[in-house]
Amino acid sequence: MINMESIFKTTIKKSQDKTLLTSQLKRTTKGVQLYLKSDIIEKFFNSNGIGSEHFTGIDGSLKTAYNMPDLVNHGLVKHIERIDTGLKNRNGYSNLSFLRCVGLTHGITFKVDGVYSRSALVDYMNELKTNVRNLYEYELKPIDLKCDFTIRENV
Amino acid sequence: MGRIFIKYRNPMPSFYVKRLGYELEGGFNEDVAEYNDEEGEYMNGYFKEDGSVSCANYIEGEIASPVFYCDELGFKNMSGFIRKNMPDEVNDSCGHHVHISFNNLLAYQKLMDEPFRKAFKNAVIKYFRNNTLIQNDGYLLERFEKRIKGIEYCYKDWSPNSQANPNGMQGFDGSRHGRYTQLNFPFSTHGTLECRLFPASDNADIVININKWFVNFVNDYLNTLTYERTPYDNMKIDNDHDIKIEDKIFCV
Repeated sequence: MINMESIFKTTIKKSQDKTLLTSQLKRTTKGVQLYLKSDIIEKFFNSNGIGSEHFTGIDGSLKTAYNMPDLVNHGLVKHIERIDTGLKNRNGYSNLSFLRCVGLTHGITFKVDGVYSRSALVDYMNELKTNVRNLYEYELKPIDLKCDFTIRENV
Repeated sequence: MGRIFIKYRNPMPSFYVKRLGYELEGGFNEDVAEYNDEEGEYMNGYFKEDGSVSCANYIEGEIASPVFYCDELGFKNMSGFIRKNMPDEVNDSCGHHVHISFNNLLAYQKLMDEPFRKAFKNAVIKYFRNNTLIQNDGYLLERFEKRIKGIEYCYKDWSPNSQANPNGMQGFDGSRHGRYTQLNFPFSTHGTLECRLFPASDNADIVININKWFVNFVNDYLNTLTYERTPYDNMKIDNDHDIKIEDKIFCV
């Protein structure tokens, strides 16, 4: 008699947190400077394959931004659809169009138009992080798909 | 190897306020505001009419000064100019607006923070109530007490971001009173910080004293501030679940 005993060995592996976005928004003697770095976000905008457009930063430097893709989360559109250089775009929403710029993978520094109080910078960063989180949840987050296949034999 | 000690001296105070200009409203006589009928303009290029001023016995308007550097020579020139362009009558409708500009944008931005507003309010009240020149002018002090509570063209609202960046920032701290606030930040038009709080005076010594006090106060305030640190922020992707690996081991 064959005695079969199954033992399950279960291990739990902690997944390592990846960095979604590194950012720094600071006031300087020449104005305000925004640093952004994210390979995940640039990969997303690049993968849409819809091309890019050039624009001039307020420091006169020529920059490139990926064209606006269709987004599942329409809430983000009003923040990124228009390339602007201040903390707010012309429609009065926080300007997050910096996220569309080419070069985010290696980190890119923008000179932001205007002068601001510290509380304005804090509010902007909170909105940036909230919207980047939404971008990740709606557009970037990989989905785990588990499929079970069974074969039934009709005898 | 010997230890090396580095001794830091107290740093010399920096002068952040670079230039100054002012506007003084009131009723002026013809020495200051003579009108040239042939040319159709005032002979004094610094004088202009102002509809908000109400001094019926004189020519109602304001003197908008040229820009002076905030150094010894600049203050001397400013004093000379003030003495030659004083109003003969001032009242509740007349203000003394001072514009100052800076040698860097960080200094300007630090004045847009709430702590400056509080520090300035406390300091200006103390200045007006304790200054001996001003104490001799009870009418000036009375008008100051009205202005500090907020009056027309000199509201208490605090909206530095929408004043300095008019495009799109209105929703942030916009005020329905626009530029008519006690402290106004017309960065995009003039690149200056404007104080509209001071009441106009017909005493040249007081006007000179107020201008110098404002410049010195702002310089001293900026010199008390510490270095502004801004660390990098790393947003992580939070993984909600741990990865579970099941190995089935059969024993026979």
